[in-house]
Amino acid sequence: MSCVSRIIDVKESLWKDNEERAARLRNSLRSRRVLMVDLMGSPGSGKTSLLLETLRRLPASLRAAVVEGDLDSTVDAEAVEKAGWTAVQVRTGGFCHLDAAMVGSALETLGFGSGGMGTGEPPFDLVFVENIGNLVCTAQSDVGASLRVAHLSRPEGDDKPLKYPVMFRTSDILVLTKADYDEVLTAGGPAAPFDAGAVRERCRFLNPALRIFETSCRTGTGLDEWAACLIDETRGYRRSP
Amino acid sequence: MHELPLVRNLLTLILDRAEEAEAEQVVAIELSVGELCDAQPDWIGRYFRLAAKGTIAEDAELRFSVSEARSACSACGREFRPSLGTRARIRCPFCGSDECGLSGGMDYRINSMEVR
Repeated sequence: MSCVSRIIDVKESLWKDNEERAARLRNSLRSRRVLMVDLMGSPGSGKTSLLLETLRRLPASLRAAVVEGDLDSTVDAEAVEKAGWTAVQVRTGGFCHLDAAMVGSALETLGFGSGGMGTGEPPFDLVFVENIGNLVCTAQSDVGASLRVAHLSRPEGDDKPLKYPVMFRTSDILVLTKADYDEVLTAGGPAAPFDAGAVRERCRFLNPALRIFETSCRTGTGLDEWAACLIDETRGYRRSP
Repeated sequence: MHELPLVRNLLTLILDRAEEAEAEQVVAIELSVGELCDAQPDWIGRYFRLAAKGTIAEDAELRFSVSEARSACSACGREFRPSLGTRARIRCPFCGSDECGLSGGMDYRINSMEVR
Protein backbone atom coordinates (compact mmCIF):
# COMPACT_ATOMS: atom_id res chain seq x y z
CA MET A 1 0.00 0.00 0.00
CA SER A 2 1.45 3.32 -1.01
CA CYS A 3 1.11 6.59 0.87
CA VAL A 4 1.57 8.65 -2.25
CA SER A 5 -1.71 9.91 -3.63
CA ARG A 6 -2.84 8.85 -7.10
CA ILE A 7 -5.41 10.19 -9.50
CA ILE A 8 -8.09 7.81 -10.78
CA ASP A 9 -9.80 8.80 -14.00
CA VAL A 10 -13.54 8.28 -13.54
CA LYS A 11 -15.59 10.27 -16.10
CA GLU A 12 -18.95 8.84 -15.16
CA SER A 13 -22.36 10.43 -14.96
CA LEU A 14 -23.92 10.48 -11.51
CA TRP A 15 -27.17 9.45 -13.17
CA LYS A 16 -25.50 6.45 -14.82
CA ASP A 17 -27.24 3.67 -12.85
CA ASN A 18 -30.69 5.11 -13.44
CA GLU A 19 -29.99 5.99 -17.07
CA GLU A 20 -28.92 2.43 -17.82
CA ARG A 21 -31.92 0.91 -16.07
CA ALA A 22 -34.27 3.37 -17.80
CA ALA A 23 -32.81 2.51 -21.21
CA ARG A 24 -33.28 -1.23 -20.55
CA LEU A 25 -36.86 -0.67 -19.46
CA ARG A 26 -37.60 1.53 -22.50
CA ASN A 27 -36.14 -1.05 -24.89
CA SER A 28 -38.06 -3.86 -23.24
CA LEU A 29 -41.38 -1.97 -23.47
CA ARG A 30 -40.60 -0.97 -27.06
CA SER A 31 -39.98 -4.57 -28.05
CA ARG A 32 -43.38 -5.45 -26.56
CA ARG A 33 -44.92 -2.44 -28.37
CA VAL A 34 -46.01 -0.71 -25.20
CA LEU A 35 -45.95 3.08 -25.03
CA MET A 36 -45.09 4.53 -21.63
CA VAL A 37 -45.76 8.24 -21.10
CA ASP A 38 -44.18 10.27 -18.28
CA LEU A 39 -46.51 13.07 -17.09
CA MET A 40 -44.60 15.83 -15.31
CA GLY A 41 -45.36 19.27 -13.93
CA SER A 42 -45.85 21.30 -10.75
CA PRO A 43 -48.29 20.28 -8.02
CA GLY A 44 -51.66 21.62 -9.17
CA SER A 45 -50.69 22.03 -12.82
CA GLY A 46 -53.62 19.80 -13.78
CA LYS A 47 -51.87 16.50 -14.51
CA THR A 48 -54.54 14.30 -12.91
CA SER A 49 -57.49 16.22 -14.40
CA LEU A 50 -56.01 16.06 -17.89
CA LEU A 51 -55.16 12.37 -17.43
CA LEU A 52 -58.77 11.56 -16.50
CA GLU A 53 -60.06 13.47 -19.55
CA THR A 54 -57.50 11.71 -21.74
CA LEU A 55 -58.43 8.22 -20.49
CA ARG A 56 -62.09 8.98 -21.21
CA ARG A 57 -61.19 9.69 -24.85
CA LEU A 58 -59.21 6.50 -25.52
CA PRO A 59 -60.79 3.84 -27.76
CA ALA A 60 -61.76 0.59 -26.02
CA SER A 61 -59.19 -1.25 -28.17
CA LEU A 62 -56.34 0.47 -26.29
CA ARG A 63 -55.65 -1.09 -22.94
CA ALA A 64 -54.37 1.64 -20.63
CA ALA A 65 -53.07 1.68 -17.06
CA VAL A 66 -51.73 4.35 -14.73
CA VAL A 67 -48.75 4.44 -12.39
CA GLU A 68 -49.36 7.16 -9.81
CA GLY A 69 -46.38 8.66 -8.06
CA ASP A 70 -47.03 10.53 -4.84
CA LEU A 71 -44.95 11.53 -1.89
CA ASP A 72 -47.29 10.04 0.65
CA SER A 73 -50.94 10.17 -0.42
CA THR A 74 -53.11 7.89 -2.54
CA VAL A 75 -55.79 10.39 -3.67
CA ASP A 76 -54.73 10.44 -7.34
CA ALA A 77 -54.70 6.65 -7.67
CA GLU A 78 -58.12 6.56 -5.99
CA ALA A 79 -59.47 9.12 -8.51
CA VAL A 80 -58.17 7.05 -11.44
CA GLU A 81 -59.61 3.80 -10.04
CA LYS A 82 -62.93 5.48 -9.28
CA ALA A 83 -63.10 6.45 -12.96
CA GLY A 84 -62.78 2.75 -13.79
CA TRP A 85 -59.11 2.44 -14.75
CA THR A 86 -56.31 0.29 -13.39
CA ALA A 87 -53.88 2.25 -11.22
CA VAL A 88 -50.83 1.34 -9.21
CA GLN A 89 -49.69 3.69 -6.50
CA VAL A 90 -46.00 4.35 -5.89
CA ARG A 91 -45.45 6.19 -2.64
CA THR A 92 -41.96 7.63 -2.61
CA GLY A 93 -42.04 8.53 1.10
CA GLY A 94 -40.79 12.05 0.47
CA PHE A 95 -38.46 11.27 -2.43
CA CYS A 96 -38.85 14.13 -4.94
CA HIS A 97 -39.10 12.14 -8.19
CA LEU A 98 -39.73 8.68 -9.58
CA ASP A 99 -36.88 6.70 -11.07
CA ALA A 100 -36.68 3.71 -13.40
CA ALA A 101 -36.44 1.20 -10.54
CA MET A 102 -39.62 2.50 -8.85
CA VAL A 103 -41.53 2.52 -12.13
CA GLY A 104 -40.19 -0.93 -13.02
CA SER A 105 -41.57 -2.40 -9.81
CA ALA A 106 -44.94 -0.68 -10.40
CA LEU A 107 -45.01 -2.27 -13.88
CA GLU A 108 -44.28 -5.62 -12.27
CA THR A 109 -47.38 -5.12 -10.09
CA LEU A 110 -49.33 -4.38 -13.28
CA GLY A 111 -48.24 -7.75 -14.69
CA PHE A 112 -45.33 -6.74 -16.94
CA GLY A 113 -43.01 -9.31 -15.41
CA SER A 114 -39.94 -8.99 -13.24
CA GLY A 115 -38.82 -5.36 -12.92
CA GLY A 116 -41.35 -4.51 -15.65
CA MET A 117 -39.06 -6.23 -18.15
CA GLY A 118 -40.72 -9.59 -18.77
CA THR A 119 -41.42 -11.09 -22.17
CA GLY A 120 -44.52 -12.10 -24.09
CA GLU A 121 -47.90 -10.43 -24.54
CA PRO A 122 -48.03 -7.33 -22.30
CA PRO A 123 -51.13 -6.71 -20.13
CA PHE A 124 -51.49 -3.09 -21.38
CA ASP A 125 -50.69 -1.12 -24.57
CA LEU A 126 -50.33 2.28 -22.95
CA VAL A 127 -49.01 3.17 -19.50
CA PHE A 128 -49.22 6.65 -18.04
CA VAL A 129 -46.78 7.50 -15.27
CA GLU A 130 -48.01 10.47 -13.29
CA ASN A 131 -44.82 11.75 -11.74
CA ILE A 132 -44.40 13.64 -8.46
CA GLY A 133 -45.49 17.28 -8.74
CA ASN A 134 -42.13 18.95 -9.26
CA LEU A 135 -40.58 20.94 -12.11
CA VAL A 136 -36.97 20.31 -11.11
CA CYS A 137 -36.10 16.74 -10.20
CA THR A 138 -38.50 14.90 -12.48
CA ALA A 139 -36.93 16.62 -15.51
CA GLN A 140 -33.61 14.93 -14.86
CA SER A 141 -34.74 11.49 -13.81
CA ASP A 142 -35.43 9.14 -16.71
CA VAL A 143 -38.16 6.65 -15.72
CA GLY A 144 -37.90 4.65 -18.97
CA ALA A 145 -40.80 6.37 -20.74
CA SER A 146 -40.75 6.92 -24.51
CA LEU A 147 -42.80 10.10 -24.38
CA ARG A 148 -42.15 12.84 -21.85
CA VAL A 149 -44.98 15.31 -21.35
CA ALA A 150 -44.58 18.52 -19.34
CA HIS A 151 -47.63 20.35 -17.99
CA LEU A 152 -47.64 24.09 -17.34
CA SER A 153 -50.81 25.79 -16.12
CA ARG A 154 -51.53 29.44 -16.76
CA PRO A 155 -51.82 30.40 -13.07
CA GLU A 156 -48.21 29.26 -12.54
CA GLY A 157 -47.00 32.09 -14.77
CA ASP A 158 -45.26 32.34 -18.12
CA ASP A 159 -41.79 32.61 -16.57
CA LYS A 160 -41.42 28.90 -15.82
CA PRO A 161 -39.23 28.12 -18.89
CA LEU A 162 -36.87 30.84 -17.62
CA LYS A 163 -36.69 29.36 -14.14
CA TYR A 164 -36.78 25.64 -14.92
CA PRO A 165 -35.25 25.30 -18.40
CA VAL A 166 -34.36 21.62 -18.07
CA MET A 167 -38.01 20.52 -17.87
CA PHE A 168 -38.74 22.27 -21.16
CA ARG A 169 -35.49 21.11 -22.72
CA THR A 170 -35.97 17.41 -21.98
CA SER A 171 -39.71 17.01 -22.73
CA ASP A 172 -41.22 15.86 -26.01
CA ILE A 173 -44.55 17.59 -25.49
CA LEU A 174 -45.68 20.61 -23.47
CA VAL A 175 -49.35 20.95 -22.52
CA LEU A 176 -50.39 24.44 -21.48
CA THR A 177 -53.30 23.64 -19.17
CA LYS A 178 -56.12 25.77 -17.74
CA ALA A 179 -56.49 27.67 -21.02
CA ASP A 180 -59.68 29.19 -19.52
CA TYR A 181 -57.77 30.84 -16.65
CA ASP A 182 -58.16 34.39 -17.99
CA GLU A 183 -61.95 33.89 -18.12
CA VAL A 184 -62.09 32.47 -14.59
CA LEU A 185 -60.60 35.59 -13.08
CA THR A 186 -63.20 37.95 -14.46
CA ALA A 187 -62.98 40.48 -11.63
CA GLY A 188 -60.21 42.67 -12.93
CA GLY A 189 -58.59 39.81 -14.85
CA PRO A 190 -55.55 37.80 -13.77
CA ALA A 191 -52.86 39.64 -11.85
CA ALA A 192 -50.29 38.69 -14.45
CA PRO A 193 -51.60 37.75 -17.88
CA PHE A 194 -50.02 34.59 -19.23
CA ASP A 195 -47.97 35.28 -22.35
CA ALA A 196 -48.23 31.98 -24.27
CA GLY A 197 -46.26 33.53 -27.15
CA ALA A 198 -43.28 34.19 -24.87
CA VAL A 199 -43.46 30.61 -23.56
CA ARG A 200 -43.51 29.24 -27.11
CA GLU A 201 -40.62 31.41 -28.16
CA ARG A 202 -38.36 30.42 -25.25
CA CYS A 203 -39.31 26.76 -25.64
CA ARG A 204 -38.35 26.94 -29.31
CA PHE A 205 -34.88 28.03 -28.21
CA LEU A 206 -34.59 25.42 -25.45
CA ASN A 207 -36.05 22.57 -27.47
CA PRO A 208 -36.94 23.09 -31.16
CA ALA A 209 -38.65 19.67 -31.37
CA LEU A 210 -41.06 20.35 -28.49
CA ARG A 211 -44.72 20.00 -29.52
CA ILE A 212 -47.12 22.31 -27.68
CA PHE A 213 -50.83 21.84 -26.92
CA GLU A 214 -53.24 24.15 -25.10
CA THR A 215 -56.07 22.60 -23.07
CA SER A 216 -58.78 23.37 -20.56
CA CYS A 217 -60.51 20.56 -18.66
CA ARG A 218 -63.26 23.01 -17.65
CA THR A 219 -64.28 24.17 -21.14
CA GLY A 220 -62.98 21.16 -23.08
CA THR A 221 -60.62 23.30 -25.20
CA GLY A 222 -57.94 21.27 -26.96
CA LEU A 223 -58.75 17.97 -25.21
CA ASP A 224 -59.79 16.03 -28.32
CA GLU A 225 -56.74 17.24 -30.24
CA TRP A 226 -54.45 16.22 -27.39
CA ALA A 227 -56.10 12.79 -27.00
CA ALA A 228 -55.92 12.23 -30.76
CA CYS A 229 -52.19 12.91 -30.70
CA LEU A 230 -51.68 10.35 -27.92
CA ILE A 231 -53.82 7.75 -29.70
CA ASP A 232 -51.75 8.31 -32.86
CA GLU A 233 -48.53 7.93 -30.89
CA THR A 234 -49.73 4.69 -29.32
CA ARG A 235 -50.89 3.23 -32.63
CA GLY A 236 -47.67 4.30 -34.35
CA TYR A 237 -45.87 2.49 -31.61
CA ARG A 238 -47.82 -0.68 -32.10
CA ARG A 239 -47.04 -0.69 -35.82
CA SER A 240 -43.38 0.16 -35.38
CA PRO A 241 -40.89 -2.70 -35.58
CA MET B 1 -33.59 19.59 -3.82
CA HIS B 2 -32.43 16.36 -5.45
CA GLU B 3 -28.88 16.57 -4.18
CA LEU B 4 -29.46 13.77 -1.65
CA PRO B 5 -30.09 10.91 -4.12
CA LEU B 6 -27.23 12.22 -6.24
CA VAL B 7 -24.90 12.19 -3.28
CA ARG B 8 -25.85 8.57 -2.63
CA ASN B 9 -24.93 7.72 -6.24
CA LEU B 10 -21.73 9.70 -5.93
CA LEU B 11 -20.66 7.92 -2.75
CA THR B 12 -21.43 4.44 -4.11
CA LEU B 13 -19.48 5.17 -7.27
CA ILE B 14 -16.37 6.53 -5.60
CA LEU B 15 -16.27 3.85 -2.90
CA ASP B 16 -16.47 1.17 -5.62
CA ARG B 17 -13.65 2.79 -7.55
CA ALA B 18 -11.56 3.27 -4.42
CA GLU B 19 -11.98 -0.39 -3.52
CA GLU B 20 -10.97 -1.50 -7.02
CA ALA B 21 -7.86 0.66 -6.68
CA GLU B 22 -7.19 -0.75 -3.20
CA ALA B 23 -7.08 2.76 -1.81
CA GLU B 24 -6.99 3.51 1.92
CA GLN B 25 -8.36 7.01 1.66
CA VAL B 26 -10.18 9.20 -0.82
CA VAL B 27 -8.43 12.56 -0.77
CA ALA B 28 -10.38 14.56 -3.34
CA ILE B 29 -13.13 14.23 -5.93
CA GLU B 30 -13.37 16.36 -9.09
CA LEU B 31 -16.96 16.92 -10.16
CA SER B 32 -18.47 18.64 -13.15
CA VAL B 33 -21.94 20.13 -12.58
CA GLY B 34 -23.96 21.74 -15.35
CA GLU B 35 -25.35 25.19 -14.67
CA LEU B 36 -28.81 24.09 -15.81
CA CYS B 37 -28.94 21.19 -13.37
CA ASP B 38 -30.24 22.97 -10.28
CA ALA B 39 -27.72 21.22 -8.09
CA GLN B 40 -26.00 23.46 -5.58
CA PRO B 41 -22.39 22.55 -4.83
CA ASP B 42 -22.90 23.75 -1.22
CA TRP B 43 -25.68 21.29 -0.64
CA ILE B 44 -23.90 18.44 -2.37
CA GLY B 45 -21.01 19.14 0.02
CA ARG B 46 -23.22 19.14 3.13
CA TYR B 47 -25.04 15.95 2.23
CA PHE B 48 -21.77 14.34 1.27
CA ARG B 49 -20.34 14.98 4.75
CA LEU B 50 -23.32 13.21 6.30
CA ALA B 51 -23.44 10.32 3.84
CA ALA B 52 -19.71 9.65 3.84
CA LYS B 53 -19.26 9.59 7.63
CA GLY B 54 -17.41 6.49 8.70
CA THR B 55 -16.18 5.64 5.19
CA ILE B 56 -12.72 6.14 3.68
CA ALA B 57 -14.18 9.14 1.82
CA GLU B 58 -15.33 11.10 4.86
CA ASP B 59 -12.53 13.65 4.61
CA ALA B 60 -12.49 13.92 0.83
CA GLU B 61 -12.38 17.40 -0.62
CA LEU B 62 -15.05 18.02 -3.28
CA ARG B 63 -13.86 20.19 -6.14
CA PHE B 64 -16.52 21.49 -8.50
CA SER B 65 -16.26 22.83 -11.98
CA VAL B 66 -19.41 24.34 -13.45
CA SER B 67 -20.12 23.47 -17.07
CA GLU B 68 -21.83 26.39 -18.77
CA ALA B 69 -24.73 26.29 -21.17
CA ARG B 70 -23.57 27.53 -24.60
CA SER B 71 -25.44 28.73 -27.60
CA ALA B 72 -24.34 28.55 -31.22
CA CYS B 73 -25.80 30.90 -33.82
CA SER B 74 -27.11 29.10 -36.91
CA ALA B 75 -26.73 32.26 -39.00
CA CYS B 76 -23.16 33.39 -38.28
CA GLY B 77 -21.84 30.28 -36.53
CA ARG B 78 -20.44 32.12 -33.53
CA GLU B 79 -20.87 30.90 -29.96
CA PHE B 80 -22.11 32.83 -26.96
CA ARG B 81 -23.44 32.33 -23.46
CA PRO B 82 -27.24 32.71 -23.48
CA SER B 83 -28.91 34.45 -20.54
CA LEU B 84 -31.57 31.88 -19.78
CA GLY B 85 -32.97 33.49 -16.64
CA THR B 86 -34.27 36.71 -18.19
CA ARG B 87 -37.29 37.52 -20.32
CA ALA B 88 -35.28 39.12 -23.12
CA ARG B 89 -35.54 37.21 -26.38
CA ILE B 90 -32.37 35.20 -26.91
CA ARG B 91 -30.50 36.56 -29.91
CA CYS B 92 -26.97 36.18 -31.20
CA PRO B 93 -24.98 39.12 -29.74
CA PHE B 94 -22.86 39.22 -32.91
CA CYS B 95 -25.42 39.23 -35.73
CA GLY B 96 -28.81 39.57 -33.99
CA SER B 97 -30.27 36.32 -35.35
CA ASP B 98 -32.66 34.38 -33.11
CA GLU B 99 -31.89 31.08 -34.83
CA CYS B 100 -29.65 29.77 -32.09
CA GLY B 101 -29.19 26.31 -30.63
CA LEU B 102 -28.40 25.33 -27.08
CA SER B 103 -25.80 22.88 -25.86
CA GLY B 104 -24.08 21.90 -22.63
CA GLY B 105 -24.96 22.81 -19.08
CA MET B 106 -26.53 19.43 -18.31
CA ASP B 107 -23.49 17.61 -16.95
CA TYR B 108 -23.43 15.72 -13.71
CA ARG B 109 -20.19 13.84 -13.74
CA ILE B 110 -17.29 12.67 -11.65
CA ASN B 111 -14.23 13.53 -13.68
CA SER B 112 -11.57 12.00 -11.47
CA MET B 113 -10.63 11.27 -7.90
CA GLU B 114 -7.48 11.37 -5.86
CA VAL B 115 -6.79 8.46 -3.53
CA ARG B 116 -4.07 7.24 -1.22
